[in-house]
Amino acid sequence: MAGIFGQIVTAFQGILTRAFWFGYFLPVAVFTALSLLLAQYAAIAGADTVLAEVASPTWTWAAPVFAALIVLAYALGPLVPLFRAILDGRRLPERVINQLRRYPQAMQDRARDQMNKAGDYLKDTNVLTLFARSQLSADRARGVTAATADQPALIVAAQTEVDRFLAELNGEPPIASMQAAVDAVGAALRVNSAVLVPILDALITGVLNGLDRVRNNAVALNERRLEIYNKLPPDVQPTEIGNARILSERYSWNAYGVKFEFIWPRVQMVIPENDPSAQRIEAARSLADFAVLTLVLSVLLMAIWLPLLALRGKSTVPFLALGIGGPLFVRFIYQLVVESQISLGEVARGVIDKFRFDVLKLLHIKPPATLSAEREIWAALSAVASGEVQTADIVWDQSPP
Amino acid sequence: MTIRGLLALAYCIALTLGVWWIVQRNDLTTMDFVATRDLALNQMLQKGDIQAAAWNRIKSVEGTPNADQFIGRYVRGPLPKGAALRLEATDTVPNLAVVPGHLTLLSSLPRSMAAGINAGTCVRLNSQDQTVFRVQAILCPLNVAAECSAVIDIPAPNVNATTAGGAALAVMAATDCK
Repeated sequence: MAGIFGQIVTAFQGILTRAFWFGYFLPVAVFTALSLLLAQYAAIAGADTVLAEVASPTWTWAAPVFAALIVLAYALGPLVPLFRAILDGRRLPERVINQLRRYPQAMQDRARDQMNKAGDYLKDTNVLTLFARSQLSADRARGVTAATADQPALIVAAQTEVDRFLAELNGEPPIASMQAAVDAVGAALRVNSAVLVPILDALITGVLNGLDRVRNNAVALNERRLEIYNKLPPDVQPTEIGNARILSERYSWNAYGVKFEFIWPRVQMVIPENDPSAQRIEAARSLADFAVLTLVLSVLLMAIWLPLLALRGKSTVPFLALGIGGPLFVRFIYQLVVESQISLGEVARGVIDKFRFDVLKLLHIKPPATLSAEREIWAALSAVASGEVQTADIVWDQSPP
Repeated sequence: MTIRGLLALAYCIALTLGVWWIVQRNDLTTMDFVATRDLALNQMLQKGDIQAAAWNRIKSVEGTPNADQFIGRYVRGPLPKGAALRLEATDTVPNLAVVPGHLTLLSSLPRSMAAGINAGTCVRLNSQDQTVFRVQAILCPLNVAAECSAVIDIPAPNVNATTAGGAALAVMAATDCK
Protein backbone atom coordinates (compact mmCIF):
# COMPACT_ATOMS: atom_id res chain seq x y z
CA MET A 1 0.00 0.00 0.00
CA ALA A 2 2.85 2.32 0.93
CA GLY A 3 4.27 1.67 -2.53
CA ILE A 4 1.07 2.75 -4.28
CA PHE A 5 0.85 5.80 -2.03
CA GLY A 6 4.43 6.73 -2.83
CA GLN A 7 3.78 6.31 -6.55
CA ILE A 8 0.72 8.58 -6.35
CA VAL A 9 2.70 11.24 -4.47
CA THR A 10 5.55 11.06 -7.00
CA ALA A 11 3.13 11.23 -9.94
CA PHE A 12 1.34 14.29 -8.60
CA GLN A 13 4.61 15.93 -7.56
CA GLY A 14 5.68 15.84 -11.17
CA ILE A 15 2.46 17.38 -12.45
CA LEU A 16 1.70 19.99 -9.80
CA THR A 17 3.82 22.95 -8.75
CA ARG A 18 5.24 23.73 -5.35
CA ALA A 19 2.81 26.65 -5.21
CA PHE A 20 -0.05 24.16 -5.48
CA TRP A 21 1.22 21.96 -2.65
CA PHE A 22 1.79 24.89 -0.33
CA GLY A 23 -0.96 27.23 -1.48
CA TYR A 24 -3.86 24.86 -1.98
CA PHE A 25 -3.14 21.32 -0.80
CA LEU A 26 -1.75 22.14 2.65
CA PRO A 27 -4.77 24.21 3.83
CA VAL A 28 -7.19 21.57 2.49
CA ALA A 29 -5.31 18.72 4.19
CA VAL A 30 -5.13 20.57 7.52
CA PHE A 31 -8.82 21.53 7.30
CA THR A 32 -9.78 17.90 6.63
CA ALA A 33 -7.67 16.59 9.51
CA LEU A 34 -9.10 19.15 11.94
CA SER A 35 -12.63 18.40 10.79
CA LEU A 36 -12.10 14.70 11.44
CA LEU A 37 -10.78 15.45 14.91
CA LEU A 38 -13.69 17.76 15.70
CA ALA A 39 -16.16 15.21 14.33
CA GLN A 40 -15.03 12.90 17.08
CA TYR A 41 -15.69 15.54 19.75
CA ALA A 42 -19.06 16.35 18.19
CA ALA A 43 -20.01 12.67 18.51
CA ILE A 44 -20.53 12.26 14.77
CA ALA A 45 -21.31 8.60 14.09
CA GLY A 46 -18.31 6.69 12.79
CA ALA A 47 -15.77 9.44 13.47
CA ASP A 48 -14.04 7.36 16.16
CA THR A 49 -13.70 4.42 13.80
CA VAL A 50 -12.37 6.57 10.97
CA LEU A 51 -9.83 8.22 13.29
CA ALA A 52 -8.66 4.83 14.54
CA GLU A 53 -8.38 3.65 10.93
CA VAL A 54 -6.39 6.72 9.90
CA ALA A 55 -3.97 6.25 12.80
CA SER A 56 -3.49 2.59 11.88
CA PRO A 57 -0.36 1.76 9.82
CA THR A 58 -2.44 -0.62 7.71
CA TRP A 59 -4.93 2.02 6.60
CA THR A 60 -5.90 1.01 3.09
CA TRP A 61 -7.69 4.23 2.14
CA ALA A 62 -4.62 6.48 2.40
CA ALA A 63 -3.95 6.64 -1.33
CA PRO A 64 -7.58 7.29 -2.45
CA VAL A 65 -8.07 9.91 0.29
CA PHE A 66 -4.81 11.59 -0.70
CA ALA A 67 -5.93 11.66 -4.32
CA ALA A 68 -9.34 13.02 -3.29
CA LEU A 69 -7.68 15.80 -1.30
CA ILE A 70 -5.55 16.73 -4.32
CA VAL A 71 -8.67 16.89 -6.49
CA LEU A 72 -10.46 19.00 -3.88
CA ALA A 73 -7.48 21.36 -3.57
CA TYR A 74 -7.24 21.56 -7.36
CA ALA A 75 -10.93 22.42 -7.58
CA LEU A 76 -10.65 25.09 -4.89
CA GLY A 77 -7.65 26.73 -6.60
CA PRO A 78 -9.64 28.73 -9.18
CA LEU A 79 -11.91 29.97 -6.38
CA VAL A 80 -9.04 31.64 -4.51
CA PRO A 81 -9.27 34.86 -6.61
CA LEU A 82 -12.99 34.97 -5.79
CA PHE A 83 -12.25 34.55 -2.07
CA ARG A 84 -9.62 37.29 -2.35
CA ALA A 85 -12.10 39.57 -4.11
CA ILE A 86 -14.59 39.03 -1.28
CA LEU A 87 -11.92 39.65 1.35
CA ASP A 88 -10.67 42.85 -0.27
CA GLY A 89 -14.24 44.09 -0.71
CA ARG A 90 -14.56 44.01 -4.50
CA ARG A 91 -17.26 41.33 -4.43
CA LEU A 92 -19.18 42.60 -1.44
CA PRO A 93 -22.63 44.20 -1.73
CA GLU A 94 -22.60 48.01 -1.88
CA ARG A 95 -24.37 48.36 1.46
CA VAL A 96 -21.79 46.20 3.21
CA ILE A 97 -18.96 48.11 1.52
CA ASN A 98 -20.35 51.41 2.76
CA GLN A 99 -20.75 50.07 6.27
CA LEU A 100 -17.27 48.56 6.37
CA ARG A 101 -15.65 51.61 4.82
CA ARG A 102 -16.69 53.79 7.74
CA TYR A 103 -14.05 52.35 10.03
CA PRO A 104 -10.96 52.77 7.77
CA GLN A 105 -12.38 56.14 6.70
CA ALA A 106 -12.44 57.26 10.33
CA MET A 107 -8.93 55.87 10.75
CA GLN A 108 -7.78 57.84 7.74
CA ASP A 109 -9.39 61.03 9.02
CA ARG A 110 -7.73 60.55 12.39
CA ALA A 111 -4.38 59.81 10.74
CA ARG A 112 -4.73 62.92 8.57
CA ASP A 113 -5.51 65.09 11.62
CA GLN A 114 -2.56 63.71 13.51
CA MET A 115 -0.30 64.15 10.48
CA ASN A 116 -1.44 67.76 10.07
CA LYS A 117 -0.88 68.43 13.76
CA ALA A 118 2.59 66.93 13.55
CA GLY A 119 3.30 69.01 10.44
CA ASP A 120 2.14 72.22 12.13
CA TYR A 121 4.21 71.44 15.20
CA LEU A 122 7.28 70.79 13.06
CA LYS A 123 6.72 74.05 11.17
CA ASP A 124 6.32 76.06 14.39
CA THR A 125 9.40 74.38 15.90
CA ASN A 126 11.44 75.20 12.78
CA VAL A 127 10.38 78.85 12.87
CA LEU A 128 11.04 79.11 16.59
CA THR A 129 14.49 77.50 16.28
CA LEU A 130 15.50 79.93 13.53
CA PHE A 131 14.06 82.86 15.45
CA ALA A 132 15.76 81.83 18.70
CA ARG A 133 19.22 81.63 17.11
CA SER A 134 19.01 85.11 15.57
CA GLN A 135 17.15 86.64 18.51
CA LEU A 136 19.56 85.36 21.16
CA SER A 137 22.58 86.51 19.10
CA ALA A 138 21.01 89.95 18.76
CA ASP A 139 20.12 90.13 22.47
CA ARG A 140 23.61 89.19 23.46
CA ALA A 141 25.12 91.78 21.17
CA ARG A 142 22.68 94.36 22.49
CA GLY A 143 23.57 93.51 26.08
CA VAL A 144 27.28 93.88 25.39
CA THR A 145 26.74 97.24 23.62
CA ALA A 146 24.44 98.66 26.30
CA ALA A 147 26.94 97.81 29.03
CA THR A 148 24.17 97.96 31.61
CA ALA A 149 24.49 96.81 35.17
CA ASP A 150 23.99 93.13 35.98
CA GLN A 151 20.51 91.97 36.89
CA PRO A 152 21.03 88.51 38.42
CA ALA A 153 17.28 88.16 39.07
CA LEU A 154 16.69 87.88 35.33
CA ILE A 155 19.39 85.20 35.04
CA VAL A 156 17.70 83.21 37.79
CA ALA A 157 14.31 83.64 36.08
CA ALA A 158 15.83 82.54 32.75
CA GLN A 159 17.44 79.52 34.39
CA THR A 160 14.05 78.52 35.86
CA GLU A 161 12.33 78.82 32.47
CA VAL A 162 15.07 76.86 30.69
CA ASP A 163 14.98 74.12 33.35
CA ARG A 164 11.21 73.85 32.99
CA PHE A 165 11.51 73.66 29.21
CA LEU A 166 14.28 71.01 29.39
CA ALA A 167 12.17 68.96 31.81
CA GLU A 168 9.47 68.79 29.14
CA LEU A 169 11.81 67.40 26.49
CA ASN A 170 10.67 63.77 26.92
CA GLY A 171 7.25 64.72 25.62
CA GLU A 172 6.12 67.39 23.20
CA PRO A 173 6.86 70.77 24.83
CA PRO A 174 4.22 73.36 23.88
CA ILE A 175 5.44 76.12 21.55
CA ALA A 176 4.48 78.70 24.22
CA SER A 177 6.74 77.02 26.74
CA MET A 178 9.69 77.06 24.34
CA GLN A 179 8.97 80.67 23.45
CA ALA A 180 8.87 81.59 27.14
CA ALA A 181 12.30 80.00 27.68
CA VAL A 182 13.77 81.83 24.68
CA ASP A 183 12.25 85.15 25.81
CA ALA A 184 13.54 84.72 29.37
CA VAL A 185 17.08 83.91 28.16
CA GLY A 186 16.89 86.91 25.75
CA ALA A 187 15.80 89.24 28.58
CA ALA A 188 18.70 88.05 30.73
CA LEU A 189 21.16 88.51 27.87
CA ARG A 190 19.99 92.04 27.07
CA VAL A 191 20.93 93.35 30.51
CA ASN A 192 23.69 91.02 31.63
CA SER A 193 25.91 90.46 28.61
CA ALA A 194 28.23 93.36 29.48
CA VAL A 195 29.76 91.13 32.12
CA LEU A 196 29.69 87.74 30.48
CA VAL A 197 29.46 84.91 32.90
CA PRO A 198 29.62 81.21 32.01
CA ILE A 199 26.05 80.76 33.16
CA LEU A 200 24.79 82.91 30.27
CA ASP A 201 26.64 80.71 27.75
CA ALA A 202 25.19 77.66 29.46
CA LEU A 203 21.70 79.16 29.18
CA ILE A 204 22.09 79.85 25.47
CA THR A 205 23.52 76.38 24.81
CA GLY A 206 20.82 74.76 26.93
CA VAL A 207 17.92 76.44 25.20
CA LEU A 208 19.33 75.99 21.67
CA ASN A 209 20.22 72.31 22.24
CA GLY A 210 16.75 71.80 23.69
CA LEU A 211 15.17 73.39 20.62
CA ASP A 212 17.28 71.22 18.30
CA ARG A 213 16.18 68.13 20.14
CA VAL A 214 12.53 69.17 19.96
CA ARG A 215 12.95 69.82 16.25
CA ASN A 216 14.53 66.38 15.65
CA ASN A 217 11.73 64.72 17.60
CA ALA A 218 9.18 66.70 15.59
CA VAL A 219 10.78 65.55 12.32
CA ALA A 220 10.65 61.91 13.46
CA LEU A 221 7.05 62.30 14.66
CA ASN A 222 6.07 63.90 11.37
CA GLU A 223 7.62 61.02 9.42
CA ARG A 224 5.85 58.44 11.59
CA ARG A 225 2.48 60.13 11.18
CA LEU A 226 3.06 60.47 7.43
CA GLU A 227 3.90 56.77 7.21
CA ILE A 228 0.72 55.86 9.09
CA TYR A 229 -1.34 58.10 6.85
CA ASN A 230 0.24 56.66 3.70
CA LYS A 231 -0.69 53.14 4.79
CA LEU A 232 -4.21 53.94 3.62
CA PRO A 233 -4.87 54.82 -0.02
CA PRO A 234 -6.75 58.04 -0.88
CA ASP A 235 -9.72 55.97 -2.11
CA VAL A 236 -10.02 54.00 1.09
CA GLN A 237 -11.28 50.40 0.74
CA PRO A 238 -13.69 48.58 3.07
CA THR A 239 -11.11 46.11 4.37
CA GLU A 240 -7.47 46.10 5.37
CA ILE A 241 -6.76 43.54 2.64
CA GLY A 242 -8.39 45.83 0.08
CA ASN A 243 -6.25 48.75 1.17
CA ALA A 244 -3.10 46.62 0.95
CA ARG A 245 -4.10 45.54 -2.57
CA ILE A 246 -4.84 49.07 -3.76
CA LEU A 247 -1.54 50.37 -2.39
CA SER A 248 0.35 47.53 -4.08
CA GLU A 249 -1.38 47.98 -7.40
CA ARG A 250 -1.23 51.75 -7.43
CA TYR A 251 2.51 51.74 -8.16
CA SER A 252 2.29 50.93 -11.88
CA TRP A 253 -0.26 53.73 -12.35
CA ASN A 254 1.75 56.27 -10.35
CA ALA A 255 5.05 55.39 -12.00
CA TYR A 256 4.15 54.57 -15.62
CA GLY A 257 0.51 55.51 -16.05
CA VAL A 258 -0.62 51.93 -16.63
CA LYS A 259 -3.21 50.07 -14.63
CA PHE A 260 -1.98 47.05 -12.70
CA GLU A 261 -4.62 44.69 -14.08
CA PHE A 262 -3.48 45.56 -17.60
CA ILE A 263 0.26 45.19 -17.21
CA TRP A 264 0.57 42.44 -14.60
CA PRO A 265 -0.70 39.46 -16.66
CA ARG A 266 1.36 40.60 -19.66
CA VAL A 267 4.53 41.10 -17.64
CA GLN A 268 4.24 37.58 -16.27
CA MET A 269 4.16 36.22 -19.81
CA VAL A 270 7.53 37.74 -20.74
CA ILE A 271 9.47 36.60 -17.67
CA PRO A 272 11.90 33.84 -18.67
CA GLU A 273 11.34 30.61 -16.74
CA ASN A 274 14.87 30.54 -15.38
CA ASP A 275 14.75 34.15 -14.19
CA PRO A 276 14.85 34.51 -10.37
CA SER A 277 11.86 36.86 -10.62
CA ALA A 278 9.64 33.94 -11.68
CA GLN A 279 10.57 32.08 -8.51
CA ARG A 280 9.97 35.18 -6.39
CA ILE A 281 6.54 35.64 -7.92
CA GLU A 282 5.68 31.97 -7.36
CA ALA A 283 6.82 32.11 -3.72
CA ALA A 284 4.92 35.34 -3.00
CA ARG A 285 1.78 34.15 -4.78
CA SER A 286 1.76 30.74 -3.10
CA LEU A 287 2.05 32.45 0.30
CA ALA A 288 -0.81 34.80 -0.61
CA ASP A 289 -2.97 31.89 -1.87
CA PHE A 290 -2.13 29.81 1.20
CA ALA A 291 -3.15 32.68 3.49
CA VAL A 292 -6.43 33.35 1.63
CA LEU A 293 -7.46 29.69 1.48
CA THR A 294 -6.47 29.08 5.10
CA LEU A 295 -8.49 32.11 6.19
CA VAL A 296 -11.59 30.97 4.29
CA LEU A 297 -11.30 27.39 5.54
CA SER A 298 -10.71 28.56 9.14
CA VAL A 299 -13.89 30.62 9.07
CA LEU A 300 -15.71 27.67 7.49
CA LEU A 301 -14.33 25.34 10.16
CA MET A 302 -15.66 27.56 12.93
CA ALA A 303 -19.01 28.10 11.20
CA ILE A 304 -19.54 24.35 10.84
CA TRP A 305 -18.10 22.92 14.01
CA LEU A 306 -18.99 25.46 16.69
CA PRO A 307 -22.76 24.85 16.32
CA LEU A 308 -22.20 21.10 15.99
CA LEU A 309 -20.03 20.97 19.10
CA ALA A 310 -22.63 23.00 21.01
CA LEU A 311 -25.47 20.76 19.89
CA ARG A 312 -23.77 17.35 20.05
CA GLY A 313 -20.54 17.71 22.04
CA LYS A 314 -20.11 16.06 25.40
CA SER A 315 -17.45 18.37 26.76
CA THR A 316 -17.04 22.12 26.93
CA VAL A 317 -13.27 21.94 26.33
CA PRO A 318 -13.19 21.48 22.51
CA PHE A 319 -16.05 23.98 22.13
CA LEU A 320 -14.25 26.62 24.17
CA ALA A 321 -10.89 25.84 22.55
CA LEU A 322 -12.40 26.39 19.10
CA GLY A 323 -14.55 29.32 20.24
CA ILE A 324 -11.67 31.23 21.84
CA GLY A 325 -8.72 30.02 19.78
CA GLY A 326 -10.59 30.21 16.46
CA PRO A 327 -11.05 34.00 16.27
CA LEU A 328 -7.45 34.56 17.41
CA PHE A 329 -6.20 32.24 14.68
CA VAL A 330 -8.48 33.87 12.09
CA ARG A 331 -7.13 37.31 13.07
CA PHE A 332 -3.58 36.04 12.74
CA ILE A 333 -4.26 34.57 9.31
CA TYR A 334 -6.08 37.74 8.26
CA GLN A 335 -2.93 39.70 9.06
CA LEU A 336 -0.96 37.10 7.11
CA VAL A 337 -3.22 37.75 4.11
CA VAL A 338 -2.56 41.50 4.42
CA GLU A 339 1.20 41.03 4.74
CA SER A 340 1.35 38.49 1.92
CA GLN A 341 -0.61 40.91 -0.29
CA ILE A 342 1.92 43.65 0.48
CA SER A 343 4.78 41.22 -0.14
CA LEU A 344 3.30 40.17 -3.50
CA GLY A 345 2.86 43.85 -4.36
CA GLU A 346 6.51 44.56 -3.62
CA VAL A 347 7.62 41.70 -5.86
CA ALA A 348 5.23 42.94 -8.56
CA ARG A 349 6.73 46.44 -8.46
CA GLY A 350 10.20 45.11 -9.11
CA VAL A 351 9.00 42.81 -11.85
CA ILE A 352 7.07 45.60 -13.60
CA ASP A 353 10.12 47.87 -13.39
CA LYS A 354 12.31 45.19 -14.89
CA PHE A 355 10.12 43.63 -17.59
CA ARG A 356 7.72 46.33 -18.81
CA PHE A 357 9.87 47.10 -21.88
CA ASP A 358 9.83 43.39 -22.74
CA VAL A 359 6.03 43.67 -22.88
CA LEU A 360 6.36 46.50 -25.40
CA LYS A 361 8.83 44.39 -27.36
CA LEU A 362 6.39 41.49 -27.33
CA LEU A 363 3.68 43.81 -28.65
CA HIS A 364 6.02 45.09 -31.41
CA ILE A 365 6.06 48.61 -30.02
CA LYS A 366 9.22 50.68 -30.16
CA PRO A 367 10.57 51.42 -26.66
CA PRO A 368 9.82 55.04 -25.75
CA ALA A 369 12.58 57.58 -25.26
CA THR A 370 11.00 59.36 -22.29
CA LEU A 371 8.75 58.59 -19.37
CA SER A 372 5.96 60.76 -20.71
CA ALA A 373 6.16 58.96 -24.07
CA GLU A 374 5.94 55.66 -22.22
CA ARG A 375 2.91 56.85 -20.30
CA GLU A 376 1.22 57.78 -23.57
CA ILE A 377 1.90 54.34 -25.03
CA TRP A 378 0.45 52.56 -21.99
CA ALA A 379 -2.56 54.86 -21.97
CA ALA A 380 -3.19 54.08 -25.64
CA LEU A 381 -2.81 50.33 -25.14
CA SER A 382 -5.06 50.34 -22.09
CA ALA A 383 -7.67 52.30 -24.02
CA VAL A 384 -7.57 49.77 -26.86
CA ALA A 385 -7.91 46.91 -24.41
CA SER A 386 -10.91 48.49 -22.71
CA GLY A 387 -12.59 49.29 -26.04
CA GLU A 388 -12.28 53.08 -25.86
CA VAL A 389 -12.15 55.20 -29.02
CA GLN A 390 -8.60 55.97 -30.11
CA THR A 391 -7.63 59.47 -31.16
CA ALA A 392 -4.17 58.47 -32.38
CA ASP A 393 -2.94 55.29 -33.99
CA ILE A 394 -0.34 52.99 -32.45
CA VAL A 395 2.85 52.59 -34.47
CA TRP A 396 4.34 49.08 -34.63
CA ASP A 397 8.05 48.51 -34.51
CA GLN A 398 9.12 47.21 -37.95
CA SER A 399 12.72 46.46 -37.01
CA PRO A 400 13.70 42.76 -37.02
CA PRO A 401 13.69 41.10 -33.57
CA MET B 1 -20.46 51.02 20.56
CA THR B 2 -19.07 50.24 17.09
CA ILE B 3 -20.34 47.46 14.83
CA ARG B 4 -17.19 45.50 15.60
CA GLY B 5 -17.85 45.85 19.31
CA LEU B 6 -21.44 44.69 18.88
CA LEU B 7 -20.34 41.69 16.82
CA ALA B 8 -17.71 40.76 19.43
CA LEU B 9 -20.32 41.07 22.19
CA ALA B 10 -22.80 38.91 20.25
CA TYR B 11 -20.10 36.30 19.68
CA CYS B 12 -19.19 36.20 23.39
CA ILE B 13 -22.87 35.82 24.32
CA ALA B 14 -23.28 33.00 21.77
CA LEU B 15 -20.17 31.29 23.14
CA THR B 16 -21.45 31.54 26.71
CA LEU B 17 -24.84 30.15 25.65
CA GLY B 18 -23.08 27.29 23.86
CA VAL B 19 -21.11 26.39 26.99
CA TRP B 20 -24.26 26.61 29.12
CA TRP B 21 -26.12 24.38 26.66
CA ILE B 22 -23.36 21.73 26.61
CA VAL B 23 -23.19 21.74 30.42
CA GLN B 24 -26.96 21.41 30.81
CA ARG B 25 -27.38 18.78 28.11
CA ASN B 26 -24.62 16.52 29.41
CA ASP B 27 -25.32 17.09 33.11
CA LEU B 28 -21.78 18.30 33.54
CA THR B 29 -22.64 20.01 36.81
CA THR B 30 -22.59 16.62 38.55
CA MET B 31 -19.25 15.85 40.10
CA ASP B 32 -17.45 12.78 38.79
CA PHE B 33 -15.50 10.37 40.96
CA VAL B 34 -12.80 7.86 40.08
CA ALA B 35 -11.72 4.60 41.74
CA THR B 36 -8.51 4.95 43.72
CA ARG B 37 -7.88 1.18 43.47
CA ASP B 38 -9.23 -1.81 41.53
CA LEU B 39 -12.81 -2.42 42.68
CA ALA B 40 -14.49 -5.85 42.42
CA LEU B 41 -18.12 -6.57 41.58
CA ASN B 42 -20.26 -6.07 44.70
CA GLN B 43 -17.47 -4.39 46.60
CA MET B 44 -18.95 -2.33 49.40
CA LEU B 45 -17.43 1.15 48.99
CA GLN B 46 -15.51 2.52 51.92
CA LYS B 47 -13.76 5.77 52.66
CA GLY B 48 -10.76 6.13 50.37
CA ASP B 49 -12.07 3.80 47.63
CA ILE B 50 -12.99 6.77 45.42
CA GLN B 51 -11.96 10.39 45.00
CA ALA B 52 -13.22 13.39 43.00
CA ALA B 53 -12.01 13.28 39.37
CA ALA B 54 -9.39 15.79 38.25
CA TRP B 55 -11.53 16.90 35.30
CA ASN B 56 -14.16 18.37 37.65
CA ARG B 57 -11.96 21.47 37.70
CA ILE B 58 -12.72 22.18 34.05
CA LYS B 59 -16.39 21.22 34.28
CA SER B 60 -17.32 24.07 36.63
CA VAL B 61 -19.21 21.63 38.86
CA GLU B 62 -21.16 22.81 41.86
CA GLY B 63 -19.51 20.33 44.21
CA THR B 64 -22.26 17.72 44.65
CA PRO B 65 -22.64 14.86 45.39
CA ASN B 66 -20.24 14.31 48.25
CA ALA B 67 -17.92 11.29 48.18
CA ASP B 68 -19.47 10.16 51.50
CA GLN B 69 -22.68 9.35 49.64
CA PHE B 70 -20.88 6.39 48.05
CA ILE B 71 -19.89 4.80 51.38
CA GLY B 72 -21.82 1.59 52.08
CA ARG B 73 -23.02 1.25 48.48
CA TYR B 74 -22.07 -1.64 46.17
CA VAL B 75 -20.26 -1.46 42.84
CA ARG B 76 -22.35 -2.94 40.02
CA GLY B 77 -19.36 -4.22 38.04
CA PRO B 78 -15.59 -4.56 38.34
CA LEU B 79 -13.76 -1.24 37.93
CA PRO B 80 -10.04 -0.72 37.30
CA LYS B 81 -8.14 1.92 39.23
CA GLY B 82 -8.76 5.38 37.75
CA ALA B 83 -12.08 4.49 36.11
CA ALA B 84 -14.95 6.97 36.55
CA LEU B 85 -17.76 6.01 38.90
CA ARG B 86 -21.14 7.69 39.24
CA LEU B 87 -23.67 7.25 42.00
CA GLU B 88 -26.07 5.70 39.51
CA ALA B 89 -23.53 2.94 38.83
CA THR B 90 -23.68 1.77 42.46
CA ASP B 91 -26.46 0.03 44.40
CA THR B 92 -27.72 -0.19 47.93
CA VAL B 93 -27.67 -4.03 47.86
CA PRO B 94 -25.11 -6.43 46.34
CA ASN B 95 -25.96 -8.19 43.12
CA LEU B 96 -25.61 -11.81 44.28
CA ALA B 97 -25.77 -14.91 42.09
CA VAL B 98 -25.24 -18.57 42.98
CA VAL B 99 -23.32 -20.83 40.62
CA PRO B 100 -24.98 -24.25 40.07
CA GLY B 101 -23.52 -26.77 42.52
CA HIS B 102 -22.53 -24.05 44.94
CA LEU B 103 -24.15 -22.74 48.06
CA THR B 104 -24.08 -19.26 49.48
CA LEU B 105 -22.96 -19.06 53.07
CA LEU B 106 -23.52 -16.07 55.28
CA SER B 107 -20.67 -15.88 57.75
CA SER B 108 -20.38 -13.59 60.73
CA LEU B 109 -17.86 -10.80 60.21
CA PRO B 110 -16.80 -8.64 63.14
CA ARG B 111 -16.76 -4.91 62.43
CA SER B 112 -13.10 -4.83 63.28
CA MET B 113 -12.38 -7.18 60.34
CA ALA B 114 -14.80 -5.52 57.88
CA ALA B 115 -12.21 -3.01 56.81
CA GLY B 116 -9.91 -5.76 55.51
CA ILE B 117 -12.52 -8.04 53.91
CA ASN B 118 -14.67 -7.10 50.95
CA ALA B 119 -15.97 -8.58 47.70
CA GLY B 120 -13.19 -10.51 46.00
CA THR B 121 -11.18 -11.09 49.20
CA CYS B 122 -9.97 -14.66 49.76
CA VAL B 123 -10.73 -16.12 53.14
CA ARG B 124 -10.41 -19.35 55.09
CA LEU B 125 -13.50 -20.36 57.06
CA ASN B 126 -12.16 -22.94 59.44
CA SER B 127 -8.91 -23.00 61.32
CA GLN B 128 -8.69 -26.75 60.76
CA ASP B 129 -9.52 -26.63 57.09
CA GLN B 130 -7.03 -24.92 54.75
CA THR B 131 -9.54 -24.52 51.91
CA VAL B 132 -9.82 -20.91 50.70
CA PHE B 133 -12.96 -19.24 49.31
CA ARG B 134 -13.77 -15.90 47.71
CA VAL B 135 -16.05 -13.42 49.44
CA GLN B 136 -18.94 -12.38 47.20
CA ALA B 137 -19.94 -9.37 49.26
CA ILE B 138 -20.13 -8.12 52.80
CA LEU B 139 -23.25 -6.82 54.50
CA CYS B 140 -23.02 -4.27 57.29
CA PRO B 141 -26.14 -2.94 59.08
CA LEU B 142 -26.38 0.81 59.65
CA ASN B 143 -26.28 0.23 63.39
CA VAL B 144 -22.59 0.34 64.16
CA ALA B 145 -23.07 -1.91 67.20
CA ALA B 146 -24.32 -4.77 65.01
CA GLU B 147 -21.78 -7.15 63.44
CA CYS B 148 -21.32 -7.46 59.67
CA SER B 149 -21.74 -10.60 57.56
CA ALA B 150 -19.70 -11.97 54.68
CA VAL B 151 -21.46 -13.67 51.77
CA ILE B 152 -19.27 -16.55 50.63
CA ASP B 153 -19.74 -18.86 47.70
CA ILE B 154 -18.90 -22.47 48.57
CA PRO B 155 -19.02 -25.58 46.38
CA ALA B 156 -21.69 -27.93 47.79
CA PRO B 157 -19.25 -30.83 48.62
CA ASN B 158 -17.20 -28.51 50.81
CA VAL B 159 -20.05 -27.29 52.95
CA ASN B 160 -19.84 -29.82 55.80
CA ALA B 161 -16.08 -29.89 56.04
CA THR B 162 -15.63 -26.13 56.06
CA THR B 163 -18.41 -25.25 58.45
CA ALA B 164 -17.88 -28.06 60.96
CA GLY B 165 -15.23 -26.35 63.01
CA GLY B 166 -17.12 -23.07 63.37
CA ALA B 167 -16.63 -20.00 61.30
CA ALA B 168 -13.32 -18.21 61.84
CA LEU B 169 -12.65 -15.97 58.85
CA ALA B 170 -9.04 -15.45 57.98
CA VAL B 171 -7.81 -13.40 55.01
CA MET B 172 -5.66 -15.32 52.53
CA ALA B 173 -3.66 -14.38 49.47
CA ALA B 174 -5.65 -13.88 46.27
CA THR B 175 -3.69 -16.58 44.45
CA ASP B 176 -5.03 -19.19 46.88
CA CYS B 177 -8.65 -18.35 46.02
CA LYS B 178 -10.84 -21.01 44.46
